[in-house]
Amino acid sequence: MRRLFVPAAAVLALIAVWAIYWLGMPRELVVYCAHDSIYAERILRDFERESGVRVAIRYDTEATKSLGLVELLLRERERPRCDVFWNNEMLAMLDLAERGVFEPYRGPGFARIPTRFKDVDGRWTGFSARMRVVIFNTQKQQRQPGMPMDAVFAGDDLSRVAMAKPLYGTTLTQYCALWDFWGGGKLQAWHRDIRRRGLREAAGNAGVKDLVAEGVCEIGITDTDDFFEATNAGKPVAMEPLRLEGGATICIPNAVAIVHGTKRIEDARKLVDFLLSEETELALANSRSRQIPLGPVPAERLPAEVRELAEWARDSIDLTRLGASRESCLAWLKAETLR
Amino acid sequence: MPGVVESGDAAVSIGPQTALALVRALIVASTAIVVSGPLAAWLGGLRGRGRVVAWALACAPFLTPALLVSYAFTKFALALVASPWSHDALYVVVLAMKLTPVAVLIRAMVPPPISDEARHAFRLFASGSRWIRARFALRAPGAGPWVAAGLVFILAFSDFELASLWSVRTWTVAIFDAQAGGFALGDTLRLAVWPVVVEIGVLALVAWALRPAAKLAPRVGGTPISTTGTHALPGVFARAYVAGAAAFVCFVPMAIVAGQATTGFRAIAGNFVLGREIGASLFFALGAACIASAGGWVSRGKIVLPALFAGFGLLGALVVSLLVLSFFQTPILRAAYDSPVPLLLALGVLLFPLALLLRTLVPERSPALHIARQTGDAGLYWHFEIGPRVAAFALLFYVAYFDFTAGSILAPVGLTPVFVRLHNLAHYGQTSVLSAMLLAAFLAPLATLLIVIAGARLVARGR
Repeated sequence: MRRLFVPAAAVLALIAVWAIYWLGMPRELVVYCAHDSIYAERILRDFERESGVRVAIRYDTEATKSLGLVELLLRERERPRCDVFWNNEMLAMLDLAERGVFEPYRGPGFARIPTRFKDVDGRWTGFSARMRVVIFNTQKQQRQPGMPMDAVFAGDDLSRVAMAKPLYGTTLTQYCALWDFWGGGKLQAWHRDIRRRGLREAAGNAGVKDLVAEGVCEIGITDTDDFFEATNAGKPVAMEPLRLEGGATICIPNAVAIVHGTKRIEDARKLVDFLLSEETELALANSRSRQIPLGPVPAERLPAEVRELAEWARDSIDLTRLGASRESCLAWLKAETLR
Repeated sequence: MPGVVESGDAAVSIGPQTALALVRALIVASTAIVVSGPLAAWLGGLRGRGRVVAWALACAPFLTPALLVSYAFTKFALALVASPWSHDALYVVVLAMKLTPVAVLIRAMVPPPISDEARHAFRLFASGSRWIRARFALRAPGAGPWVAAGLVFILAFSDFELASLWSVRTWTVAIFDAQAGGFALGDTLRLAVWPVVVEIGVLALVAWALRPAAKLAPRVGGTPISTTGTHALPGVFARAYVAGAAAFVCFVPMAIVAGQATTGFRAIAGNFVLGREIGASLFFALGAACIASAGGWVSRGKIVLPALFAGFGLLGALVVSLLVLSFFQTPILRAAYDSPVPLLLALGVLLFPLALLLRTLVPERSPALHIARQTGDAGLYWHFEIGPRVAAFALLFYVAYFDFTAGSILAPVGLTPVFVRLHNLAHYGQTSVLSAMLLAAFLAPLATLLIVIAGARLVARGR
């Protein structure tokens, strides 16, 4: 064993040197990113190439989209290690802004985004959105234009209907909208009722897409980017916007914010402006996820599907007024889903 | 109340998930014990190259990363979702096949204290009392089955990776959800109290079962009293099980992924984005293997402290990672929170039980080793001295490389291990590009190990 001591010590020394080097390296711009890595990676690498600013990214897991990073930001509030937060939904930003996690910034990107998708003080700004949609397996179920949400959850047996756990991501946004429309009591009763009737609960929206695309379920609630993943793979699926009472749709933008206490404020601002630019919105619109630009862009540079989505998005509810609903709904869901 | 956390005015309980995990773990442990005894006996009876191949095939399911299995069987698992029992059955079958090699290894290491001849003599001459015969039946196999059952139970009970990939309801997934869903760390750990109590209880039973073996320490890993102790499976059945399990858990998934990856390789060759993550995984695996090996070396001749550390490591990646996280969130250690140290430490702790096991398997003194040292023959020196140690280190490195759970909780920004990324990407379903990425991530440690082993051989030959 003694003969192995020297090589082992050499390896340990190498690791120690590497670790010291790593700890002493000039810090990269740290981005917490809840958006799907397969889309976000390219955008952030483009930013690196254009600006010369190196970026280190921490992604969330697919199953706990956004909420894991939101909680991490709150835990690290006293000693933030994140410089820029790219969230894939908007509601959590309202809460984080209220708790003083963000640094206001109103740059050129902020100016081109409509008021209903940003914080007036510039603590966060929305961009490139996707929609909540009903996804159908066309081999099992006819596409039903204008189908209201009640019709999706009709019937005694919901084992052929899929939806993601509502604790996270855009399903949480959907629940907060329902909380706002119905009130907490009715939502809680509805939630327990659909579970009692055998609703198929997936870990995330991608899981819902898989269940419907593979024909295990006939119908599900998911996001447009997941729906397009299924069509890209040639699956027999169709979609309709999820319509709440009164025909309102749910359009969920990405959102970006600079974290209060960052030591790289100039680089952070560069990234925020880059993400809120027309080029980034067009890149995301033309990516496989077909996201809807929120700022003005030339219509001819958009794919046909995105133009249709933009029409649906006109009927969307104003998410900025759901802050209080989110707080109450999330407190209830944290208890309910782990029961 | 322990196991229940008050959140607002509602109570949260993970009792049902714990109960489900308990039942599954009991099934897996029982299956592993039934299969492992005859299998260990059959493997013990083999000689030469056939023995090496048979052991390699027998261990293949345990060494196959959960992500490979779950990713390859995504569609199969999806098709079973409509029938929750079938979905659970698939999970239990795969888990049992993955963990049975652990039981086989333990039973080969801790053989029965009495020979087959002595058993036969007992059957012929013992009194007809059922009580005496029952006591004999319980004690004759020795500690092996109990220790094997305990360890397999703990590994099955604390499984997180396969359960989370297949959306199986279990306490580890519930606790991960609680952690990600915003429960304070203390509350999350409080949720884990009952499962941890179960694990500690089983570990205590394992330690109690090992007492006689510890008294007979020279026999463990040395020359066993009996090489069989239980009837060997007829060769054809044993071969069929070993080949079937290896095929189902290892080779079929590998073939599915490799088949899909052929077109994806061209795409990733032009834009390979996982280089940094693979580098991070190699770094953590190397560091953790060094820490665990050093821990094993330091604990030579000691029992209590190593046993406590090993017990901590056996609590599972999720519990250990959450405890390490809470440790590094204290004011004194906060400076090291955003560094590779917490993950290296957690992986080292998780590998420690395996390092101890490998230390037992690789004797430091033996007549063969002594002769190899005396003769100075490079081949013998490699075969008896360096080879086993390199193999032990390689195994630690390999297991650490494929970690997902600890990496997803403790990895610092900018050093994300590759399986944390791949685990996330796997939720998008099977694609040729992702299959190619998976294959590249699997091949990277194997290539590294080949280079290291070739280097070690050269060093040994140069002596």
